[in-house]
Amino acid sequence: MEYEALPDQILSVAKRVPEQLCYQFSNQTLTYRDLSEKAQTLAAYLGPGSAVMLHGHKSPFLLIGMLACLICGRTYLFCDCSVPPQRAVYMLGQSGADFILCEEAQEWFPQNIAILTSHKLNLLPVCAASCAKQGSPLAYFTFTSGSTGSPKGIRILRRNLWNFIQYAKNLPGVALHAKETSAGHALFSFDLSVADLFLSLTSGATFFAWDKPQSGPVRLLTCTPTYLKMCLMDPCFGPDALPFLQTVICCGETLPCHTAAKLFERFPGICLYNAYGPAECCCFVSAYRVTLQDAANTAGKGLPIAKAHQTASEIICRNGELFIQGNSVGAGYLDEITGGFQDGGFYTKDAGFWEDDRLYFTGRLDRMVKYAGFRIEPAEIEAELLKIPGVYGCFVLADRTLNGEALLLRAEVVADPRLTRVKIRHLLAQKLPSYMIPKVIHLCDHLPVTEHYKAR
Amino acid sequence: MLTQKNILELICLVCGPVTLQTDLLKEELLDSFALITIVSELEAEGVELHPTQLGFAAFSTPQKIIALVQNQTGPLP
Repeated sequence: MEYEALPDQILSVAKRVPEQLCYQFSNQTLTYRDLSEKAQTLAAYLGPGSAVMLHGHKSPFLLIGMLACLICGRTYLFCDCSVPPQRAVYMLGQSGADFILCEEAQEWFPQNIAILTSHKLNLLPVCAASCAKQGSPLAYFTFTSGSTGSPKGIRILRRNLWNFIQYAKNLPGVALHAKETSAGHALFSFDLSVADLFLSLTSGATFFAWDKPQSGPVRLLTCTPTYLKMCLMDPCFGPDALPFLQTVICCGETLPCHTAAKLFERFPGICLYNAYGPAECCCFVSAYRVTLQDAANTAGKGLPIAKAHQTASEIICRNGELFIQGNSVGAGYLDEITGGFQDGGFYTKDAGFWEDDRLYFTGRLDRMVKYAGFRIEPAEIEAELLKIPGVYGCFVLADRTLNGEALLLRAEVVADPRLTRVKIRHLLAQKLPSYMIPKVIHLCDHLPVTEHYKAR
Repeated sequence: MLTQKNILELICLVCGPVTLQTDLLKEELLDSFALITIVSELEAEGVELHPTQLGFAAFSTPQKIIALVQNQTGPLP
């Protein structure tokens, strides 16, 4: 199958431009030669098998691990250092991973799982490996907040990944060439990183992993709208610092018209895409090229998220809900709950409509909240609150702006009077990523409800 | 018209109920998203603050944020 060629394609690129830098994060760099040699060595060492957890924060070793898994037919899942250990152990269990590749071994790593550090990899003799023909059809697992109270793992197929790459690299202004540079800020465990990593690796370009925005020869930037807003707050973020910046892809949350307008003002003539897609459908399914006219729009519909016939898979509006069908749709959840995977596609629970060949997003049909691009199910936070001894009941709500963006997570909690907000927050931080910890924890005698017994 | 009260209300909207002296960083109430939201809303009122140049510490309390605004606008009611 065509998608089986993906690891070979990356290795061929590496053969063409071996001395080219493929990756840089802070002062850590990786050439295509090193990526290819080490990934093949690691693939030969791993052999076929179960999933592999790649643990660390944007280290070049994680890229090596990712390519190694693709070569030897294994599935990978990224786990950033910021993920609390209990959550990471849960992810390990759900994924069935039997290997952890990491920069440094952690105390909480289970005893029964094989571990390989980057240091040990450097001691292995270099060897070549052929790409497995009968490996797993799965490329990676990605975890997102779950409405049942635990994070849910999504199965993404190699076919989905291939479909995404072919779509994204054919977007005008997006395709990279060898010696060009792209940049992005997404944690590898956030699936926006799929665009970051694979658009550059399949073209021989260099990817700069940013934490904070930097100056440099970047031609393509992929980011959330929140990150773009942060960049634009710095008056130095402009053509002097980024003279080669031609294209920005925004994804993960609503892109406000005024942010798009500000980018056009700062970088006249720049190509801006407003991309859309749930993690269940591999990174993004559509990317709408925003015009100056769109950014100046005051009609209140917001920016379109897709143009008809210019999507990676079909997006249909069924009873006001966006339904995705095609090669973008993943292979379900790890916990076997069907969820939106029905009728041969995926029901997104995103509300929207098509008008004049343009697709508009109008909000969620469930309780899920986007905060700075992160997906949050309030029920997952509630489940963790209820596990705290002394918590008797709770609601978690998002206080929102007029256009539906979440401003603040608020928890209404009925608890033992000896339990303090600080203690609750401390206990939640052991289980949940920082962005899921409610800023406001209101301790009350009873849960505030409306006359219809809905959370107030 | 921008007032000290408006600014405090904006901060409360994003960080939860706070006073002028609340240490937003120590209380972990001011993450980067909250800061971006506050700065964006102030920008809409004609006040431009540059967090990347000023640093996070400059926004550590509502009182300091109001002072930053007043550096540009002059004293606010």
